[in-house]
Amino acid sequence: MPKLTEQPIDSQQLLCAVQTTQAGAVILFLGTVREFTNQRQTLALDYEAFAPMAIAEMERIEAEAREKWVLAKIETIHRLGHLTLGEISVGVAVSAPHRDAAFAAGQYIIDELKRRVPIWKKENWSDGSQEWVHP
Amino acid sequence: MNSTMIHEQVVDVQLFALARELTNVARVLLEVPVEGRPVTIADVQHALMTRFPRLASLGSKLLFAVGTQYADENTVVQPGEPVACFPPVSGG
Repeated sequence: MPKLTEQPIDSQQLLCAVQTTQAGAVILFLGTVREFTNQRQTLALDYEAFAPMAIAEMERIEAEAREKWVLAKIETIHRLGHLTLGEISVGVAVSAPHRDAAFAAGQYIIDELKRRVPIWKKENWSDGSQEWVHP
Repeated sequence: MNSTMIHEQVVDVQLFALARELTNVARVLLEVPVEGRPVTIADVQHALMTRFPRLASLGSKLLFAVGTQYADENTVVQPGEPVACFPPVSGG
């Protein structure tokens, strides 16, 4: 079950949640708050979500990954609210019998999450300005 | 004017991120004219743009959902179904 949280993401907890004796491989992806984008400096990011749809879309993505690859467990979590530099904004952990499936599924889940899940980030730039990020 | 000829469907629309900031509302009950066929997302979008001209700066980039599913302009909005309107997503 995917999650949204206003609390810091515990990467160790994500890893533990997907570990199982069915798995021969565990991968963990973390998205973190980057300081520089091109030459502009970020101080913080603010995230908001359309929560019920975000959860539903994350569930659909997990289900699609399970159709494409043989997987054991999946954990997907996204942080909301105000995040400072270096903090974890998103975490994806996948376990699978074999590593190819774990890597591929992990990439698929984060790519689809960024493409489809209704979550938005606002940049807080070092010059004091704020700006919604639109791909 | 014959009031029985005027027919509207009230659509509950939630707005997010820049769409919310441009309109200054997180939720609006929008009166969408009914023209002898089911109301679609295109109708909701038109009513929303009329009510909030500032949304035009997002223009064709605006995305819509009915309930918790993405919708396109032809998607029918049944009476009582909630709609969400938002800019391109940028999570991760």
